[in-house]
Amino acid sequence: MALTSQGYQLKQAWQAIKRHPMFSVNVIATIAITLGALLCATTLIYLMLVKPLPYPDMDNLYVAKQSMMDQEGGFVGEGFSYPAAKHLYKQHDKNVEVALSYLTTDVITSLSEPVTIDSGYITPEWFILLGAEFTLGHNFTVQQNMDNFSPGAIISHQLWQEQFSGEQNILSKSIDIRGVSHPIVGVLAASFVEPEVKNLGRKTQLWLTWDYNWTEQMAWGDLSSIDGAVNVLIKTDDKANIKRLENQLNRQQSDLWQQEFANHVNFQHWQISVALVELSNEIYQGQTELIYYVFFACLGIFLIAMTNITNLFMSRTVEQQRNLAIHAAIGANKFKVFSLLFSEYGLLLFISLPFVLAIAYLGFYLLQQYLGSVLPRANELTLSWFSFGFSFCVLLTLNTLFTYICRQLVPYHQLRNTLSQSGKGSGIQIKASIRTSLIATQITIAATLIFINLAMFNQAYRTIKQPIGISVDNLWQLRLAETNPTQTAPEALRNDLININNALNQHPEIAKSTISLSPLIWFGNYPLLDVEHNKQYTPQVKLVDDGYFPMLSQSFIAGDNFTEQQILDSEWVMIINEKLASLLAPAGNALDKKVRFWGRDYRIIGIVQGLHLPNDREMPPRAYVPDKRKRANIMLKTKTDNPMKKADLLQVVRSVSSNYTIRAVAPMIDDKNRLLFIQYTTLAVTGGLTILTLFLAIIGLYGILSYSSQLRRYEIGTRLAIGAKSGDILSMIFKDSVNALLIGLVGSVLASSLLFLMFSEQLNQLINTHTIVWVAATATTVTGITLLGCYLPIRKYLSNPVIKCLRAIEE
Amino acid sequence: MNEILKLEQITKVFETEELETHALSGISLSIHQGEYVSISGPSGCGKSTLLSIMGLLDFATSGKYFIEGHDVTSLTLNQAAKVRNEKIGFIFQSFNLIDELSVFDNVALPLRYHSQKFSNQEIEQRVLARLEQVGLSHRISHKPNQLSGGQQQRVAIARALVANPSILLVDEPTGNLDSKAGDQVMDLLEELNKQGTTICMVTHDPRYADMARIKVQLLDGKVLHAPLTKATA
Ligand SMILES: Nc1ncnc2c1ncn2[C@@H]1O[C@H](COP(=O)(O)OP(=O)(O)OP(=O)(O)O)[C@@H](O)[C@H]1O
Ligand SMILES: [Mg+2]
Repeated sequence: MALTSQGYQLKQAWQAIKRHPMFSVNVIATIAITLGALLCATTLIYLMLVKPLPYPDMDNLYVAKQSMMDQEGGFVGEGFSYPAAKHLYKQHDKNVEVALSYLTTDVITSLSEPVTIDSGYITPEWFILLGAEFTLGHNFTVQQNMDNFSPGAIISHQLWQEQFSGEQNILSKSIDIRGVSHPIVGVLAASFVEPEVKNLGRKTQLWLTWDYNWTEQMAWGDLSSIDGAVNVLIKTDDKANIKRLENQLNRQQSDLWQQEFANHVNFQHWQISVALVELSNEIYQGQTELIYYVFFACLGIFLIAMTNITNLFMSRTVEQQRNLAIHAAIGANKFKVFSLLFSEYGLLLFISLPFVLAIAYLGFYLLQQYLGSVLPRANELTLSWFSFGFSFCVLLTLNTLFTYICRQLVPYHQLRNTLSQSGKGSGIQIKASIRTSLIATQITIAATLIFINLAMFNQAYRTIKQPIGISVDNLWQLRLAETNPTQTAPEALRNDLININNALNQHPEIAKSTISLSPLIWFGNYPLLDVEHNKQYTPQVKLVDDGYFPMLSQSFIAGDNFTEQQILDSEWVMIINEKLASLLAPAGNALDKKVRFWGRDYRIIGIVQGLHLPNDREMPPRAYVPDKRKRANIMLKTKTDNPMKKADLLQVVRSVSSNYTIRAVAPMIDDKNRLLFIQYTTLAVTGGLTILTLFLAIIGLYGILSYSSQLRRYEIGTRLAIGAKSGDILSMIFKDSVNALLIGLVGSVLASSLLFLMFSEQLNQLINTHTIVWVAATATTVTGITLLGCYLPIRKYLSNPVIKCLRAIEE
Repeated sequence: MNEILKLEQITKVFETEELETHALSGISLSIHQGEYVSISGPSGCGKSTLLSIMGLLDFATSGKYFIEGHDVTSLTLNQAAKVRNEKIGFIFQSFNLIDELSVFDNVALPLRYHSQKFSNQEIEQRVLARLEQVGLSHRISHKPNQLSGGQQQRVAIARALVANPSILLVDEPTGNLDSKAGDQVMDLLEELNKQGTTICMVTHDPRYADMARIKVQLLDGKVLHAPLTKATA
């Protein structure tokens, strides 16, 4: 009996949904889009704050980090220096496990075409600590540990599929990297997720044994400089004594330091400290602010949408009063009335569930595609029981809430009267105050969101448009890799490089080329001593040749560029930027000053205008010294806008020497855009959210106003009948909404002020002279929306004969 | 006497998806100043349709329609509003008072929509005079829902009269009233007619139809029986 009555109710509910297709589509679409978006944002927060990383004994995993301060307390860098990492690995206690990784990019030269991939050089413990599983083969063995120089390669599941078409005999093959052939010993399981310790969204395709890393091979390691490629992972069973472990590591490192720099007075005053950071904390250095912003924006939009739907459901309930009255008249009790509403709204919400999940799925896909490099653990974004459970709970809560509110609207004891009354306007109605507060709530949230979105959009836009001080038009960065660095004499390589550069200069499409690395890619931090005042600075340093400044059109304030001879002779001359010049000689002229750098006396020969790179809060001091032409980076300027072809360039390189292959070639604008990625993301996200907010606010206000004008249909009809013109009716409706509009605008000013107080650190930079423009733009937009929302619903009453308006509502 | 309304071969066809309803088929009728016309007939015969066309609330499918000699067959909506406001007073079965407005403001409404601007003093004078006429000058600040049905209908009559229309169009004025209140409303209408107001009234009730001096009977959208009026005579 109970079952059939529920079946009957569901059938009734289904009929009701079919009878009001626009209403149903409106509800489903609104819930799908806004709850889908909220689900995406919540999943990100969940991954960030709650969900454990997919590694065994996660709580016991730490990343060790060195931080270096020079004797002046100037920050040099954070990470690990190469020799220090090796020392830590070799000297560690029995009660901890240590794994090293060296993350970089490489070119595989053994495939039909050279392929550039993200690579990692590791000690065998790396995969043990991370609990990696293998589809084929196994981890590196003890025989492949540090200092054994035993080559070996482990490839990712993806590389196996893409470059080796998933061949089963893969373990009999090998991969060539910089002249060394690495036999493939394993294929990682597709489910392996690498910890994003170096950068977010990184997918290392190829893992090699530690000893073949670049720094080792090129003998670059230097105790006093941080090697950005090096990562140190530590596992301890003794979590309680983590401070003691930290102290022990610090002591060990400082012993090493003192030993190395016993004779260097300056270095003895550097502060080197080691900190252990929980792996889970270390990874979450993504754009957490962006994530929180997106979450709150999605929540705001969701609330706007729920206001809309509350209104829609309330209107439905009022429309249904006759039906409900009939149910009451034939004996339905209060609970029955509740469950009647519950099943109708519930069915509608339940139908939207798959759409919610579909929208979230789309959102995950877009986030992975476009924001993988700024969102932590984006590769773990998938539909899961969490998504399902979350959506289900939200929908269930909404259903109960809507039903409860609507049930309050139905004065049960008066239902029976409804039937006997024939006059108009005597049934249940939504009070004007509820209508006003719904509109005001909407306007408050919408205006606040639009204002903050516009301000953020504007700030990102200005950062993007801000001149960086150089022109990157038609500039390309070519990065070569030595095929056999260990087997070719350094002199030969250097000559090859110079010849390649000359050959490129002859190329018909190339205007100019110079052996330098773009400022958008790299600067190093090195100590520099002002001999005269015995003062030390740690400027950002770059190795360049004579063509660098002319190619970037970076102009000189004083002095001269390097000459070709100075570069060839690697003379001890230096060019500095205006900022460093002002530090070295606050009042006077820094030209011809002597500074101590890399153990030598350098003479300052030029001062250039400073760069403003996208992420520079303020201009850092910078120094430039002649490049020894040891690193194969070449900047190119093309004659036309046409893109450079990798194959063409490879041909030029090969015609000079077979010792080099192309590691990467890309327009510099790509690097600029990469540095501005967050700003572009902000543009896209705030732009998208503004449009969504506007859209929802319009349909929401339209819904509320259209419903209230529907309720006022008789009144409007009566007024028209006694001679009101369309203009009279329009101005009457506008006047009625002005109150709600004003309350909403004042509310949004309060809400924004509150937000700015609560998050002053993040938001205050948004306030500037443009703010008034955004306030005005927001107010105009919101007013426009309200006016439109007033006009559209009554348009049909004003453009048809009055009798339509006066006829009974229930047709 | 002056001809106030003149209908010539008015037809009205309602087209819905399934069928066409010929609500009116060729109605010709004229009403002169001071007349009291009743329209009656069985339910669904087209009485209300006819009245709404007369009141410019709806437009005829074909035929011609004149008010005080002016062709009003094809006016724009706003032109029709002006004519309604100045020439026509409506009285509905369901009173159609506006709940949020006081009795005074309800009655004053037509003056506020009038093309001629009235001073507040003038409005007050005219509204009070009309309320006096319907016997409700002691209820001016009440809201409609604080009045009885009969009182509400009398407020509606005051509102219909306030702009000095040429004709009162009345649709089932007693439909929502008990017989005592209904009688009072009918007495009031008769009194108004005696004072010179032209009235055209739709009613079911033969008793009330008899109070009119000219009785038009409709059947299936046609005039079944119309006594000679001065125009057709
Ligand atoms: N908007 C409409 N659409 C379709 N048909 C309509 C419409 N309005 C009226 N009709 C039809 O026109 C005919 C006349 O309707 P009308 O309301 O004028 O009747 P009536 O004489 O006033 O009846 P009653 O005495 O019951 O009020 C009816 O058959 C009705 O069904
Ligand atoms: Mg009727």
